[in-house]
Amino acid sequence: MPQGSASCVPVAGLTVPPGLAEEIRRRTGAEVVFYRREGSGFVGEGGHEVVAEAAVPALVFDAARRNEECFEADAGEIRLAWPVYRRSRLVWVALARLSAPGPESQNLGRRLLASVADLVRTRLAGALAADERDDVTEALTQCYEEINLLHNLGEVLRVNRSVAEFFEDVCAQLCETTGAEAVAAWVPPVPGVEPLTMVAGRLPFLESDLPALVGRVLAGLDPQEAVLVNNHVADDPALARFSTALERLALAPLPVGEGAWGALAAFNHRQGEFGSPEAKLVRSGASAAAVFIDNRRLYVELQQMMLDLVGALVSSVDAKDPYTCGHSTRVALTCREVAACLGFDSAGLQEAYMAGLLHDIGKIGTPGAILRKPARLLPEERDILRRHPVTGGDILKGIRRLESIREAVVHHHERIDGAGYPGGLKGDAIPLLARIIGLADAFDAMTSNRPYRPMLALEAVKREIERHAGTQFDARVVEAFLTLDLDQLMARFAETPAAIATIETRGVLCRPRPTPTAV
Amino acid sequence: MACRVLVADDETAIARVVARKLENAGLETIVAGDGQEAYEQACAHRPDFMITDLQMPGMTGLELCTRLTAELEVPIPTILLTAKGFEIDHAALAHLPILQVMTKPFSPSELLASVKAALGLHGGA
Repeated sequence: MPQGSASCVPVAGLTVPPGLAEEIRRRTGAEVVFYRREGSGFVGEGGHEVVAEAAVPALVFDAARRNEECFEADAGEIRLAWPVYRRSRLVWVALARLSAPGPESQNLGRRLLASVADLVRTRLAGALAADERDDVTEALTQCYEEINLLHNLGEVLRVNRSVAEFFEDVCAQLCETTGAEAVAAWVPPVPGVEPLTMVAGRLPFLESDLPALVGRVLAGLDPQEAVLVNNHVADDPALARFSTALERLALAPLPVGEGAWGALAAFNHRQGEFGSPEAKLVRSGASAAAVFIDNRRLYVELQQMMLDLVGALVSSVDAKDPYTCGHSTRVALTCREVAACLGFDSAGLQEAYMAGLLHDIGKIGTPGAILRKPARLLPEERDILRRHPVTGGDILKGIRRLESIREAVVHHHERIDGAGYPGGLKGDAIPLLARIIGLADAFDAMTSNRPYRPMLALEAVKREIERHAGTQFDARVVEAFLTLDLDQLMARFAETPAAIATIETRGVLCRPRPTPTAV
Repeated sequence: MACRVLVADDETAIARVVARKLENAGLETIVAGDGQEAYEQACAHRPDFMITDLQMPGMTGLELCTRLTAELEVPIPTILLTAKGFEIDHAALAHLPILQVMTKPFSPSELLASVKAALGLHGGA
């Protein structure tokens, strides 16, 4: 549709219903031609160029100028021209011709043409209404897509998933709903968050250029602006240099913490330019992503903080008794390895590690003189020392999240045969984690130099542990323990504290179980 | 006496949504499908308020507002609707009676609230 000058208003999308002229000819014998108004001239039906004035019948101009039906007759033919409006705007002038030889037929014919004019007006109004209804349907469909996207953003925030899965979802959905050729997300490396590039669709530039492009756009961004839309990238040399195929973008900055910024952006709208509806959608996606990333970072930070706090707490016990320095960490490592052999999941492994770290926390209440006594303890001294599991339990009582660890701490000196303390619990009544700690604790005692005896050789230690399976130690735990590569384990004891105190398990040490043979 | 609002948007659906919202609230509406039509209607009927799209074929909402402000003695308070809000030069709006620019999609309820607030201030019905 050609654009006219400022004074004329081309009306897009209005076509004469096909077959209308044919139907009129069939029913009445009249020939109808439609002239579409264009500025002060007319375009013939199906044409695109304004027709020269001389080629348009004067009657048509009359009807337009006078805003009413105009009639003329000459020998053999009558003609009627009438204006057709859309709201108050003149859109068409229709011209009907009918052959009519004499004055009587011309009178009749005139009334016939008037009816034709009514019919045409009705039909065109109907066509217009249908067009408008189609537009509304289109708009509604688009709205539904957008609303669904926003609903889904709420859903993906709720479900626990990886950062990559989250962004894969968001990019794909945004690409669909914004009508972009591609949507990309970029998260720079920041503590607690994995760096990431995610693309849905086909990028109009090299993926490796994404960080640089984002950086360039962010540099020019007003910090108040939540989203930047540029529909004329070609005009900006700093952006255009990335690709000649990149024409339009809508980019929302993505805060990832520590003052760093990533971005979520849509590129090259498939049908037109990016407008505020698309911009708002991209911004919503970025807001959801920011919340998601924040939660992730906080979670990781909290985990680390808890571990650091526990480490500090444990150090306070180590400070009282230098011979046990590092003991809690070694027990923690051992507990985790045994738990891995027993098939604990990653949350269980963290818990086992934590329980090992905290098992002797109650010793903070034991007088230092007793802890450091080089000789054998007197019975009353032994009784005081034996309070440390219960004391440990008291210390941990206030922390709801550590309830299962607290139990393990209280019972880590129980024995399978019930001869342990403080509860004298037997067999399965002892929490599994406590049974693991019991073994790990004893292992470390046997493999360290104590004030009252030197350490035992590894083989002797293993035999000693085996000998006490079923009495002091849980037989299943012993079995798992003995599949460990103990040399490797003890080598890890020698590593720096920083290397030891990581949350992630760095590869388990247990060898694969032999498959049970039929008996 | 009911307040009369002129609604101009070449997207019929939007124009209807706005008009319906206003009518349900007791306001009288005139709907125009482009800038030229809106201009003619404004001159003929002197509405109390105007809501116009920015991007319209022929005369844009901004041009419409500028012409009306220049030619009519009483400026018509206006809200501008647009899908291109970020391309508007806000300095150009300074001398026009444009109370607010709303980007699409907008909330029809919020739009109605703004219109009612503005008309209340101006002593409307």
